[in-house]
Amino acid sequence: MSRSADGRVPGAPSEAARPLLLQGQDYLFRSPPKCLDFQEQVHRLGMVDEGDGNPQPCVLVLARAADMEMNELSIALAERGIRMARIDADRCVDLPLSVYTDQPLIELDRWLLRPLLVWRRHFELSAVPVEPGTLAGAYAVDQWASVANWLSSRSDWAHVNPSRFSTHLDRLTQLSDASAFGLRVPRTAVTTRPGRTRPGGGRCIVKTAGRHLLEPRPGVQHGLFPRPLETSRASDAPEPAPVIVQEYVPSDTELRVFVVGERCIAFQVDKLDPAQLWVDPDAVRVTPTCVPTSLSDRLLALARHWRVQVAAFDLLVTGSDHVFLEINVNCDWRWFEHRAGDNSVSAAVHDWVALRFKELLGAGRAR
Amino acid sequence: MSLEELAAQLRRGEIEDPALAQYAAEYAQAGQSFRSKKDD
Repeated sequence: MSRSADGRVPGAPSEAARPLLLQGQDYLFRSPPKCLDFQEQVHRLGMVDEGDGNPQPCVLVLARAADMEMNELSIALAERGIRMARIDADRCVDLPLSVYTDQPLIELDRWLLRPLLVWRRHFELSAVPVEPGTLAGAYAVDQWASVANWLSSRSDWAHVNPSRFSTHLDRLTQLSDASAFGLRVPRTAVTTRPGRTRPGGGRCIVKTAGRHLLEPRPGVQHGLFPRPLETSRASDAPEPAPVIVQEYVPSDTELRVFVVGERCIAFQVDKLDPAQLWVDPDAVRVTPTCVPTSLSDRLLALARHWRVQVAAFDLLVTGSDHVFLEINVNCDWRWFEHRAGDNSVSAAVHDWVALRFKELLGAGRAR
Repeated sequence: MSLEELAAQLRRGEIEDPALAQYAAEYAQAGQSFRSKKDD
């Protein structure tokens, strides 16, 4: 493709004409649809003792191939003798799958399984490997959308972070609920005119109202990260879609607090700007920390209110106060653990899932 | 072999099966390359 002297493709919108959150965002990650699931590998290779022919109880995960948290969960559950099965959005086309409607069973490849616990995370329809803009592609995506929604909300299975509640947990609902639970939140506006809107009247941050990663083509993810709203931005340039504009709250540091069941595991996160987490992770300092009981009690109450069992809160620390920013239901913990040299979230998640599975297994046997 | 035994082999880095050893190598490589990726 030919480019002009300044490197732009002729006819492409100039940087200033692009949506604000796409300007200067060069984070691009390729997420290959390569199976990295340990249990799937050993079963496909025929290395595992076959069962007695009865449906095998399992944890069913709907994710994507490169969800490393779920890949690690697969190994951790194998260590405990718990079967985990996987449906990945980026590997689902042509997957041999039959789902029973009158019994809580699935046939996945050549295995008859009885999911007891279902966890959907990062099963994004934009990752389904179809040709965008085609009828056949739209068809496959629509079928998978319906079936994945059904699988992740069936009432005869238990769920981690049930979709029927967490699907509607957008950032703006989060803010109003957090405020109702007594947490301070930044003044916030939602607007297609960020040049005109300054909640609090001073410095502001622009954030996506949707996801942090966009996938315009399957497997190619572009970052959409918070950025300062430039004070020189006096123009009234309209945005094609609403964005979140939030007052900039000066802070001493930030916290990421993982909720796992009834536990809170906290990390202090020191960085220079909001996007550094993604674009310059090596410059971010992450250290394990403790949070006051008054804060953890509130976060656990919010998690119960939202019916999420594994999630991550982002907060600012301003003196002795905490400011709620957001909760991430599909949260990464290995990123933080790697930087902190600490695997306590992984251990807690693996233990929690294993314990929940055993409770459900025991309850099934008692019936 | 049981799932537990296979997982223990993987953790100890003692896999003898060539296909599974290849998976283990790919998994380790993916772990490295995805360390800088933050999804949320």
